[in-house]
Amino acid sequence: MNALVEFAIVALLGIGSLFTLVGSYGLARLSEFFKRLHGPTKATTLGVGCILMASMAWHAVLDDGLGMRELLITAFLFLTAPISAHLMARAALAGAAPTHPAPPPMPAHHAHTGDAHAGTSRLAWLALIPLAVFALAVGQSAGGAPAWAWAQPWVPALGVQLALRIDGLSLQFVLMIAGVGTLVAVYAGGYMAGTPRRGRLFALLGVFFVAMLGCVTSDDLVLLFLFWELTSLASFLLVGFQHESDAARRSAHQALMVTAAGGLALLAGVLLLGQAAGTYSISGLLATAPQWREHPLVPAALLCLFAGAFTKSAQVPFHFWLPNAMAAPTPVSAYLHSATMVKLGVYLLARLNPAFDGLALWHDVLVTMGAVTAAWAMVLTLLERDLKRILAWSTVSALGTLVMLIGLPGADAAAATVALLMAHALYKAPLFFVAGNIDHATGTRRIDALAGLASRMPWTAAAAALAALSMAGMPFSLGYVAKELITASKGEAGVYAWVSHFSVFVNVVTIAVASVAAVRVFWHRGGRPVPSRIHEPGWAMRLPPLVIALAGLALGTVPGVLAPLLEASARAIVPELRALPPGLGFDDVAALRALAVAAAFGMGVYLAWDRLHRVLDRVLRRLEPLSALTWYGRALDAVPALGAYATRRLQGGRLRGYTLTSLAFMAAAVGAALALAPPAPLAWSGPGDPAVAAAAALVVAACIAACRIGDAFAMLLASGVAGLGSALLFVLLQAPDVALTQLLVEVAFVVVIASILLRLRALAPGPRRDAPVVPRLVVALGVAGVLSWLLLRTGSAPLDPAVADAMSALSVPAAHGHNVVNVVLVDFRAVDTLAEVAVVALALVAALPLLRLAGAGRAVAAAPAPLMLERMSRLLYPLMLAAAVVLLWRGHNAPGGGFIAGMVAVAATALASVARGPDAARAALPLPPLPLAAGGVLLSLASGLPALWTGEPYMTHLWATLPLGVAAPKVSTVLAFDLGVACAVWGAMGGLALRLLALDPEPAR
Amino acid sequence: MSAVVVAMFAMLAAGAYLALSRDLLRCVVGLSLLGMGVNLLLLASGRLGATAPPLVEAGALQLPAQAANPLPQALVLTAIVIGFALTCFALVLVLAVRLRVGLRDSDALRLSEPGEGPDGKPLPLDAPP
Repeated sequence: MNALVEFAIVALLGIGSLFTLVGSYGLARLSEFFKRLHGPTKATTLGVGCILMASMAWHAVLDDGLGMRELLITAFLFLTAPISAHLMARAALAGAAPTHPAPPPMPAHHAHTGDAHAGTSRLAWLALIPLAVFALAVGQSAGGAPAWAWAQPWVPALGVQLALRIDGLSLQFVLMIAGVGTLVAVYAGGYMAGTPRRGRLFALLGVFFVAMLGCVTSDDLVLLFLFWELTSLASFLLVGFQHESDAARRSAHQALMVTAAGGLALLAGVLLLGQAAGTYSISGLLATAPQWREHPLVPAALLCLFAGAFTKSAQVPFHFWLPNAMAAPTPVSAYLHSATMVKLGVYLLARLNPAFDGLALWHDVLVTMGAVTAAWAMVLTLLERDLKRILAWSTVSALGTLVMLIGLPGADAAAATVALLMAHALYKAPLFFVAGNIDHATGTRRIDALAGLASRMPWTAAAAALAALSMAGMPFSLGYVAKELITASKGEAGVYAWVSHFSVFVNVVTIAVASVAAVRVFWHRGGRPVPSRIHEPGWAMRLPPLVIALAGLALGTVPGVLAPLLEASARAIVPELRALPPGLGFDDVAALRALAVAAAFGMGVYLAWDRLHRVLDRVLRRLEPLSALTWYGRALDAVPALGAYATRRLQGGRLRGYTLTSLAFMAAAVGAALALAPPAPLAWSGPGDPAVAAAAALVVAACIAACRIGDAFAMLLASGVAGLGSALLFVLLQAPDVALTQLLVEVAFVVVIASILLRLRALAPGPRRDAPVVPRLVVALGVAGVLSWLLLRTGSAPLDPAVADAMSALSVPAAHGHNVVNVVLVDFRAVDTLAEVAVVALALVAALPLLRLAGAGRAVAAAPAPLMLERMSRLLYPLMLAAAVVLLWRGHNAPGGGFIAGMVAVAATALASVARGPDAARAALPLPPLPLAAGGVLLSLASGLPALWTGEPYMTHLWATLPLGVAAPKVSTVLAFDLGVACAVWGAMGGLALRLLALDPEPAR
Repeated sequence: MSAVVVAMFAMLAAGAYLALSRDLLRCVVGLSLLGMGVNLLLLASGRLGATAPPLVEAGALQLPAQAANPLPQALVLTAIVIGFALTCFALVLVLAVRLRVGLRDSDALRLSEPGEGPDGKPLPLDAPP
């Protein structure tokens, strides 16, 4: 379990999203197919689907509890709900206009056409799906069966399971999701009737529905995270549903940014928690909590989980996105942003409460942030004039109260949490429906423009009044029960007793908000006539708010019906809970008195609403630069600004800038690693061998000269001297092969580059002013210093001699070679050498087109060379080649070998070219350069093949003794390999040298 | 060891210093010096202080105790040849640039870079030069 696991999980999520994309594409194609079906076929398919679902629902109601069959049905619904929603949506859409070039206006246009009874979309039948799930859940809760669980290994190596578990808390959420979902679907059928793209809305609601069910039934943190993210995505698409509107797009973007950032924090928290507890299973986590609660990772995990839950549930300082999300169509606001999705954060905290109960960090953070959110949201409510935004702020406040209740110690708080969850869903959803009806009928949601609607919209007014009663916590409502339990839980609050001051304030403003939503809009006349064209919307929009509000009142009157469910739910939050406190009645006089006081103050706030609004508006407008929303905007602006700045600094378009950054970073990284490593002595040991010291001094002098000299030719000479000094060092350090190679490379390099410069100097003015010295010097000294430090640290550490000893021991018996360096190159690491030779050959291949661009390769008259040099080269060339042959032959047993032989041959070619011209030198080669290099690589490649016939691995060299009398030389495929290396180096480097030397001093422009 | 470290320090510092120059020819020389310094680093990290080359004497079956570590030598040997190939290729690049642009100033290589506006910020790539 480490970084690898986390990486794997992230990769998994990536693959998961890919599958989702592919899946949606497949769905789109499927629906194309569906669209092509004949009308009767389509109707039959839909009908059969509906009958199936209805029968399942009926079946579930009759049965008490969930058997295997019901489980299958649930799974089927889980799987098919989004598919069927999509299919049916597309089918319905197929009847509408196929394309919508003109952006549609808001649905409020009905009000102005007077066509309020515009009917109901057929899509409202989709409500049968959540209804079936609701029925299943009711069946389960009536049975009072214990939690059922189902698990299937998903990624066993990571301990990730496809695990579902439904206990009391999950069941309560399932009931809320499915119950409200049913009415939302019906309501949306009326609200969206005649609106283009309504099928899309229903499809997204279906996706969201499944994601929510998955979230509250997951028993695995990773699975929960996946569904969690899916709800964020659905929310993004639904908030941005009216994507023609700029405000909707911005709000959708904001909601996604906040919740997705929180989702990432949640993922981090999940992984940390998994590390600490050793499992991702939620029930496993809770069962083993005492064993891992003291783990050092737990506080970090908690902070990440808080970030995830607080963004989702819109707690301060992430509260601003929720009211802005009101750009969504009203059914969406009622469903996602009031009844279900925003409660996911609360769900997560409640779910994990048994594990963290008693931790100071848990209680402190939750109580403080919850109380602050609850109170602050109520202040912000007073600032709003838009009915939906007023309701949204009061939702934020309720979420804050819920978070605070989870943080409060004691079992009563858990009972209060579940009661408030239920009550809030039952009064806030109808109030949103009411706001939607008003918007639909009047075209506005501003409370200044709305008055006295009760006479025109009596049904809606009744629903509003009923819901407001519950919201205000009046007796005989579920809101009253919740409020009663909250009051009781404060008795156990202990050190957190101060929260009751906050909740008194929250209560007062809640009552005022309820009055605004119900009384002011519907019964307060304001002296203006109500336009007669306003009238009640269709039944699909009239019934849902009434049904939910009535349910809230009914359950409040006989709370005993709910008691088993709430008790099971609260027990999931606090397992020690025995039974619900006896607060579920109306015999508490003190509570009634407190309620009366709060109601009086609430009416005061209601009456002074406009005046308070003006005062607060003036004060808070001035504080706006400090608000969370402003900071969010600043952070958002800072990202591209930072990106532009970093790009300008790091991608300045200048080579030296890139080099400087890379070298400085390298030095800093190596330096940091060294500084952090445990201290070790440095292998700094006196002056040592005077010969070594002298060679080093030569190198130092040459290096200083190379940096100081302005003249290019002299600089090259100085670098050549540094190379010679380096070769000298290699000799003294007992590395003859390396020294020979270095020497030959230096000779070839200086010969080539010097002759180029001598001929082309006039063409190439250097820059007039070089880059500034100080940064270059600092970085150069830093790089050299850090690497010297590294070397000194390495020198003092013990060396593991295993590899060197093995090579030393095997060299003669196994590889028949006395020069161990050569044996390593041609035998032990032959495949590696082969690749390196190929790179050398590639250098030529890559350089050829560049040289052609530069105009090289055309016939050039041989430069006149001194006669003496010419004569000498005629003598030296064959001698050098002979030396190369000898070096090649003896290389296996004495200094020499293919690389050295090849470089001697390159030096010979370079010399010949300088003395007699490139053409003559080229003619002296056995093959043209490119075939020579390629042939060399191929020869080396082929030298490993004979081993395959004898059953040995590739590149195992074979040996034989030639029957040639006394000498009896031993030959081997090693020789072929080394010959190939020599030819490749000769062809590639010699060819490159020839091309460079043949450069035309006056290229055609 | 100390003298070798000093030599390596000098080559690395000079190499980096030259590689940071605007003059492309200096960059190539710097690259080659940097390579030399790193080769020395590799060799020295296989430990110094040997008094014999890594050659098995005739008749012996393995290296004497005082012989140098053969492994870094083999690695450095190929590194030198590859470094030479790289240097030659870099030289070809410089020459191609010189013969086309007429300069060996790396700051003048702005063919694929956006121009700079009056405020010092880069212009869009498709802006006229």
